[in-house]
Amino acid sequence: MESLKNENEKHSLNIPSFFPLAPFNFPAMVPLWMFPLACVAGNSFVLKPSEKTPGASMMLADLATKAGLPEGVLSIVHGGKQTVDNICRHPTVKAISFVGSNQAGEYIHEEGSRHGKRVQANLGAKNHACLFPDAGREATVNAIVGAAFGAAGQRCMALSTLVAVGETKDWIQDIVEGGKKLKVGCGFDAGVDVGPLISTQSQERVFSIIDKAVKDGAQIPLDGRANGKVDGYPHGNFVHPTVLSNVSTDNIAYREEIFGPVLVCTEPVDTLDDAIQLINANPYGNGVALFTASGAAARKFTHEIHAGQVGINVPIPVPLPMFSFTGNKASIRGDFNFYGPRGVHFYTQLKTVTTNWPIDDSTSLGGVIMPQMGKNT
Amino acid sequence: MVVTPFFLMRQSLRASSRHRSSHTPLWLSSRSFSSAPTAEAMTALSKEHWLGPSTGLYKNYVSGKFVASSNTETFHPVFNPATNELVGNVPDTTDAEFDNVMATAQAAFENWKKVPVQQRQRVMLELQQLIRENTNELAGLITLENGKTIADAKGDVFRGLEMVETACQAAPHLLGDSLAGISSTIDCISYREPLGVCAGIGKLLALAKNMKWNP
Repeated sequence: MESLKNENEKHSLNIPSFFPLAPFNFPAMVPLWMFPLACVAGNSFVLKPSEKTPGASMMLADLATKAGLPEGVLSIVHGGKQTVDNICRHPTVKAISFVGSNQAGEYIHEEGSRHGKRVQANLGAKNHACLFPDAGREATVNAIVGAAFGAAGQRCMALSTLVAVGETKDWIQDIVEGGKKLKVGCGFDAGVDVGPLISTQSQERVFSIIDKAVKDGAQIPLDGRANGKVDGYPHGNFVHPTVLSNVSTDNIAYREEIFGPVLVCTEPVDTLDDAIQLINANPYGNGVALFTASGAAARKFTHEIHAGQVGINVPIPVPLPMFSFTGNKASIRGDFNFYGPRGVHFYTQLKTVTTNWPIDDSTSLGGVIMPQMGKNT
Repeated sequence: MVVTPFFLMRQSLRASSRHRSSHTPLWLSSRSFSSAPTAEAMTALSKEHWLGPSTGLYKNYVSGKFVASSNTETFHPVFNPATNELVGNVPDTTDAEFDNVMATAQAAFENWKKVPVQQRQRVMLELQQLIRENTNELAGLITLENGKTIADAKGDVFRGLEMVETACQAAPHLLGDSLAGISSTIDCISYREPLGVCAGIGKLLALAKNMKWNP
């Protein structure tokens, strides 16, 4: 059963955009965004789990049956493109939920829509943290370190990009020191803060992006490539926390969703307006966070920013289930949001019933003229 | 073995006494009522049930059972990211198997949509309890296949658990609208009805590799 890094599994690294992203990153949460609401609304559900992390889905299906979900209401089908095409094209399927990369999600949205299905898709992200000088320095730095490097940066709501306003550019050194203190290792071991990346290909892709970013002029105050090994796990896909600074907006590290423990600090800006303009120019619009002690700055930022989920002094503002997951710009396809009331609406359709119960059975029930029930008499 | 929770057994008895047995919902009549849930039975199945011990292939889940795909030729490897040891292989479901799943899902929907929403919510109530009881096992699977720390994996499960908790009270969002007296004896009501078979898709390695896309 053992297979070390398989040469045949490695991808060409000149196509990093093709690399699939979520939702191997949340093997329990993302399926639970989908089937509980679909099923409680009265639908049956067919799940194709991530082919990197299927285990949690298997166990959840078993638990759902034990909880009383009748046989056949929840099914699991494994597979790759063939299975996806079957889902997008089979006449029985009425709606498709997808969380993952833009390339796959846009294909599923188009292919599913072409076959008359509803499609909701949460796609790529480049989540910016904006530092305003009146924020509490230590708490802000700690929040950035956790949100940038936690889960090895493999969250669709990871704070992967930092925009420092004014003097907060000096805080980057504190973030570097915080990143150095994190322990990288196997997720099962006590005291570990940052686990490995999902695959060898993912690790190599992150390394190649860092290489290219530095070659194209980015500075690298914290380099996670040099000491990429972890004692006892020589074959793991580890990348240590990395900070890139003075990254221009045309640098590959700014353009790509890296999906690794890499914090990309843009060239510093002078004003909040500059920061808002920079963030709004990014094609993605998943999450954003502003750190400030100013209500006026927070209000201005909240109302002018183009992002679906805004955190004010909250690093990862993933909405709770009574709200909905609300992407913006290229981070979303489809008209209905995941979960919350909009999620229920995605999995349901309205049927409107008009009834006429006249007392007198001689009353006319309609003639050749279009009914005009609301006309003045 | 499928175990029926007590609340469903009670419901079935009420349903049969009120409507006579011929009106017992089909999805209930097809189930076994012989055994009560026990602590042992309510624990999640061990991995051998859904990951073929001899084949190393993950199974599909069809009609409440883990079923091996007949395709043992093309599959996707699952590695432990901390060691790159092979955990198992995910098969490509065949077209015929997919069609069969669609048929079972459609048949299940025809019965499930008739189950009162309160009972559907109660299944979610049971599910949230089972997820809480099995959080450690779920988190262990996540860390094994995804690599994130156990503490983070438990957070993954918890944020999903909150979704199930909300599904226990989804009925208010299923309310339609009504307007009485739009003409002298005419009323209008809208109902919010389920769609049928819905699908969820996880990550797609093969699709992304094969797709035509211009950067």
